[in-house]
Amino acid sequence: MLKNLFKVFSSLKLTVTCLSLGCILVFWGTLAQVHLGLYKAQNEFFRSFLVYWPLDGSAPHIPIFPGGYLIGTVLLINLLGAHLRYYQPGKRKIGIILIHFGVVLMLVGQFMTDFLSRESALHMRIGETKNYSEADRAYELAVIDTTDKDSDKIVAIPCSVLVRRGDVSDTEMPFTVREKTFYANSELTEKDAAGFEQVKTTAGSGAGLWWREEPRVTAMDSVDQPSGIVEIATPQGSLGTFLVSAMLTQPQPFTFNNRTYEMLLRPERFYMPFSLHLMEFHHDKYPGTDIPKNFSSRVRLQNLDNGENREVLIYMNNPLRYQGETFYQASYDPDDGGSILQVVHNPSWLTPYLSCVLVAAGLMWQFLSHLIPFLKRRMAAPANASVPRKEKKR
Amino acid sequence: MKKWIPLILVAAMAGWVLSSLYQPPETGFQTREFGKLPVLMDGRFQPFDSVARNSLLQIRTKQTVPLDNGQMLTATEWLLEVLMKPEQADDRKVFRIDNGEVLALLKLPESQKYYSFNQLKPQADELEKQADRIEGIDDAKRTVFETQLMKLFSEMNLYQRLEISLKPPGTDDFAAELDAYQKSIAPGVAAVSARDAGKKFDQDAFNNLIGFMGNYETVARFALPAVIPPSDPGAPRNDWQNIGTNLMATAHTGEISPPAQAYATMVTGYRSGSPADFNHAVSDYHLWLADRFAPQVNKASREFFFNNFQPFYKALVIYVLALLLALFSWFNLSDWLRRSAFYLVGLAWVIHTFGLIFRMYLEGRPPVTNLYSSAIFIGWGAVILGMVLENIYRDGIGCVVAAFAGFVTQIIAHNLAMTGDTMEMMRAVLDTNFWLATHVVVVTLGYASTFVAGLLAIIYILRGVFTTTLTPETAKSLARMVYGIVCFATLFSFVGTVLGGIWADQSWGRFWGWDPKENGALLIVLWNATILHARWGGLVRERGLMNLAIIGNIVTSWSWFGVNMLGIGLHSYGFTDAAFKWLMFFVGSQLALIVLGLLPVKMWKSFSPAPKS
Amino acid sequence: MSNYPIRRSAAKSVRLLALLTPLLLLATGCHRDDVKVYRIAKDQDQQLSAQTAPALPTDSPNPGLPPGLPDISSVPAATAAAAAGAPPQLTWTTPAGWTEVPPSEMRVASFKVTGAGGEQADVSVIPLPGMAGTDSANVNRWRGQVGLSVLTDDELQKAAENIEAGGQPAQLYDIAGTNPTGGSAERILGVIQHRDNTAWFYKMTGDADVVEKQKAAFVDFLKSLNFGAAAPTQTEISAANPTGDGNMGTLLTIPTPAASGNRPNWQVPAGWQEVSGGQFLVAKFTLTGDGGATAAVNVSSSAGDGGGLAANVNRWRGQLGLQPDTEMLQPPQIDVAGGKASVVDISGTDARTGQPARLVGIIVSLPDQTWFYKLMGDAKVVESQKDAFIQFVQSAKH
Repeated sequence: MLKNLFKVFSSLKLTVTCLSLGCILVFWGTLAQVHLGLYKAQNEFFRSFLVYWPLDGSAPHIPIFPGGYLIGTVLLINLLGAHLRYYQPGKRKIGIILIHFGVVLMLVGQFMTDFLSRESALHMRIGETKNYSEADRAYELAVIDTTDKDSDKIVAIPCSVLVRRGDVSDTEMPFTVREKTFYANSELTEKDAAGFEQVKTTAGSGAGLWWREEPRVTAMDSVDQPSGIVEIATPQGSLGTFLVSAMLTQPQPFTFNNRTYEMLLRPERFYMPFSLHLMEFHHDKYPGTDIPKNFSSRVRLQNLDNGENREVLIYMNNPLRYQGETFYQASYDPDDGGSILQVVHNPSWLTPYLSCVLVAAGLMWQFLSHLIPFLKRRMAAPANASVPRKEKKR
Repeated sequence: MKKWIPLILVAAMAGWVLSSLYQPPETGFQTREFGKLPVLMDGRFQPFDSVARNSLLQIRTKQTVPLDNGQMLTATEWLLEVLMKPEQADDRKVFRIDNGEVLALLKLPESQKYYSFNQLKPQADELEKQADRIEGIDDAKRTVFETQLMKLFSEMNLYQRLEISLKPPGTDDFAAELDAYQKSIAPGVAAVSARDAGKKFDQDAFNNLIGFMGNYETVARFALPAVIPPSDPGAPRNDWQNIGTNLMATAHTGEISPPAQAYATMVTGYRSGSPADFNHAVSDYHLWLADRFAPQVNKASREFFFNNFQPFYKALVIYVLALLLALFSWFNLSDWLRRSAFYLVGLAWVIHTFGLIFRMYLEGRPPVTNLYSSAIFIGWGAVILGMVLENIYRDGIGCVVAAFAGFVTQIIAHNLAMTGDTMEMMRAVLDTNFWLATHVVVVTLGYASTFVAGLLAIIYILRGVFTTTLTPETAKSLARMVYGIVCFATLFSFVGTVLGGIWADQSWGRFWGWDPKENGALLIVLWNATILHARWGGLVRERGLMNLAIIGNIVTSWSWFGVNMLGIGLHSYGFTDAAFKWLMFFVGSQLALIVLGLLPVKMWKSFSPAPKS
Repeated sequence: MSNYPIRRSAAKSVRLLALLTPLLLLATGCHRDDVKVYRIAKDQDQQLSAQTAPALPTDSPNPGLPPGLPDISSVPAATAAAAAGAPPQLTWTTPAGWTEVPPSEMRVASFKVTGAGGEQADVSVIPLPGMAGTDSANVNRWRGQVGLSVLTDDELQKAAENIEAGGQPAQLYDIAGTNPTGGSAERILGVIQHRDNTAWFYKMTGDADVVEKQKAAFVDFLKSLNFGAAAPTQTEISAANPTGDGNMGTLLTIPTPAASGNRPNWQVPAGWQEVSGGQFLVAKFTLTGDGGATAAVNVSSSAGDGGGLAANVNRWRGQLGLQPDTEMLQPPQIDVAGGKASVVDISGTDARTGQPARLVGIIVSLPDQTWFYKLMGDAKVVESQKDAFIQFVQSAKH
């Protein structure tokens, strides 16, 4: 039984099947991006084990096709199995081994990137200093203890955690944050309008507003605006229900046990042990046109821990790499008064580079090791093109 | 005797190519000299000749304008009319309209293909109304009528802006007008300052100056090319102005700049029908410029030469000739035919390469920078592969592949040039010669080689099904060719795709984003790998290999063009109706060929009973 | 191909799988987010109030551009002429029967029309810089105001009429419904136009009969709007008297020069520390008093009337934990450069800190812009700085 299973898993037929399925998946996933949007299509097709019907995630949730992770995993197993089965040391095989090892490295590296990497955005107006970056699409509920004069203690609860757990407690918080309602995308208005219902909260500035749930966005350049009603539950009873929203930028204050707190929903923040200060931003265009030639930000990097204080120029194709984070010039404010840097943390960034070298070397080896003898033979047999050749077919 | 024919043919074609370099001296208006004058437009310096050709291509889809009397206007002659004698240009039938609904809206007869601006003018209001409405609609959601109407609208806009680029509307004797303007500046400025200070002022002088400036302000706002170089030797050399801005600035300097003077003289000379004045002004101005702006003048001259030489068109003609000869050689089997074809392909390739390198020199960029140049380069790469195959196998197949690929890619490129300037400036993130030279070139070669494999497979099937020329020997050669090329394609498409990912990683920190174009490239790699593994696993033999290679054609055409039509992602160029039809037609043709390939062997002429040998 | 003994290789692969699986599981488990706790020094936290929408990477389809680069191709390639001079001045032709009302804090222009029986209609021109919501959001809000249901984007597009306002295209939405208070037939002609970075709202609201009769006049009024081209040179040499003949008539698209917002010149009092204003403030200053008590001065501006006196004062009241004042009386006025300004002085509890606070707000109404100066913080600090604050505002030259 095991033997047969192994045979199947290391067979070339499985490779061809996986590759063909992969082709279909990539093609289908690309077409799906038109309606689902790049981000959602990526998650449904490529960053999943199975593709479900219907594609937008609603019921019934029937798996209909293998997803990117599944095909990738099977290919990986197939590769390793085939090598174990057919391993044969020899000069001729070096090419194949290099190629396949490179592919393995690429697949594993991409898996790792999916799980380990983190992208966020750092938006600064000219003259602004910031030591944190914000997630593009993830929000957090920040519960801030503002009692102390010099510093605030922040308990940041990612929205995904809030929704998943319902009740969030932490040793650093003397109360529990309870999610009552949460809309992943929403709209708020100050006046009653069709489709909206009144926000029913007992505390904070939610009263007097109307809200409703919106469908998740699919376009690449829009972001969901979540809102939710949370309750602060203490051992002595509830402090009330509050409305928190991505669109409410004023924090909701409350007090408990002689300590003052604030709460607000904001894009997830990643604080860095250093700060960046945007000194200048330049948007160069080609003369007489609006075609952008270059964007560049001059920033001052300040690290209080090691006293570093220097100027850096970040521009297109020239990022700043510092302490495991890379800062790319990504975008800018329409009035050219601010710059948006993309901050990427990707520990497995080297794998594609290595993989490329390995596979290229392997392919070259494989290719040349067949081509050169072939050419030699053709040169040796002058003009007798009609003589059939017995070439060892691979 | 017969062994000299190849050389004679090559010499003849080379002679034809070189003969086009000679141009008889111009009588009358020296429009070619005017065409050499450099201007700054779309962010780059180009000769008026390029402006003319690109604008006319956009509007008329051709580079010439036929007149009723049988003569032809060159692009520059047409541009001169537009710039200097718009009332005459308005009568020329240059606007190409194919869409019936647009014609109905414009109340124009459907019998023609080209219409003049005067024919469109009566309905301008209606057009504008429609354009306003359509502007709010997303590109991807527009109907064919709406897309075509917007296209016409933007062409009319381009046309009108060109009309106002050199001469203010209503001006006849521009030179005399500038004289009058010059004289009006001092008293006019005095009047304005007096008015500002609240004192009494000369109303006439004031009105006079305001009148001129109002006119020039309109020109300043809408003129397209910047024709006047900076007069201050210390100013940045790129700081050119259009003539309107320059004339308005004259109110401060008090002196009309020599270039403006020169252009005004040209206008007056052209309008009054005196070639001598016009030619003098052009050559004097040329000398003046050459003294101060030699790099721009030289670049413009070279680009002018390139435009007139038209290397790609010439290569196309020779490729067609070579193709015909190579096809005959399959049936005729005489070696002189084959060698003629081979040498002609070589000649065409040399001209093709010359054009490619010249473009690189003019742009200062690696060979592939946009869709147009990718087509040229794919042809170039495919021709090389074909010639290598021909050199090894010497059976005319490589020749056919090379000539066919060269010819078809030139046609595709020509159609891609219809959107305007093919040497446009690169956007910020693309402004990196290193990655353009590595990723883009390698991935394009990957496309080219996959197409070559597909072409070889098509030859196999066509020759096998319809003729008796697919001998076992030929079949085996073809199979080996396809296999070899697929290996090559795998290497280049893989490396090219990964290089693209590395570029993305260097640029914005994300190696792979599942963008449609990235997915397209990945598809090519996956498919080529599938072909190789299927063959190794014995899942396909010769015929199967050929069919798989033809599918490779479909995959590559999807990746090259199809993904651009989705209208999403980072590489989208927008949906062009005609291109979509051609893509579907191509895919259909490939599927038909696959069906042919799947026919049982006994239906193949080459494999049917009563074998040849 | 000679095979390594299959059994051994099978066993090997099982071991490999056994190694891989926990890694995979670990990986999938790794993906879970969790609660984070950290401490941040106080002054950095002030960023909270200035921060609004997340810094969107504004990606758009464009050849070869990565996510995060705006779509340049949508910007018209028209090369604007000489440098911009004075900001645009809005002029128009007032239709017969329309009474011009002085522009308020938010409105650039305001009119009243009275019908035969005394019914009223109100016309307003309100620019809002930057994003003022999507067009469909605004139109549906208007629909809601007269008791109608929401329309989808497609339906809205069909309902839109294309007109011209100030030389550029605009969409007009004709909305007929009922007035929620009173139930009489009410009609809204709402026009949305996007110019440069500003959304312009032209609205006629009122009794259905009056609006019906005035619709043509409204459309004409919009056509007559002139946003005034920037002067080509420093003097007033403008396109006032072109001598060109009628040939210019049908230039099909006329790009307008971009307006630029600017920071006024002012004299900053001693002891005021300028800090970063964030995205939506023109300027921000922090003031410190005895015992570390602080106050802040926020300077912001809005095109038009910025929402009106009542809306803004109530917003400030809300920040001090007070209920909205429905009976707003005209606040005292002071002289500033360019006209008069309203001063409000409110005491309450800072909604953010829970401490007693005082707010002095000065609203400066200019013809097409409104400037908001807010001094808010510890009551003692505000008291001691109030005069300096007023002087600061009076020194500002917009």
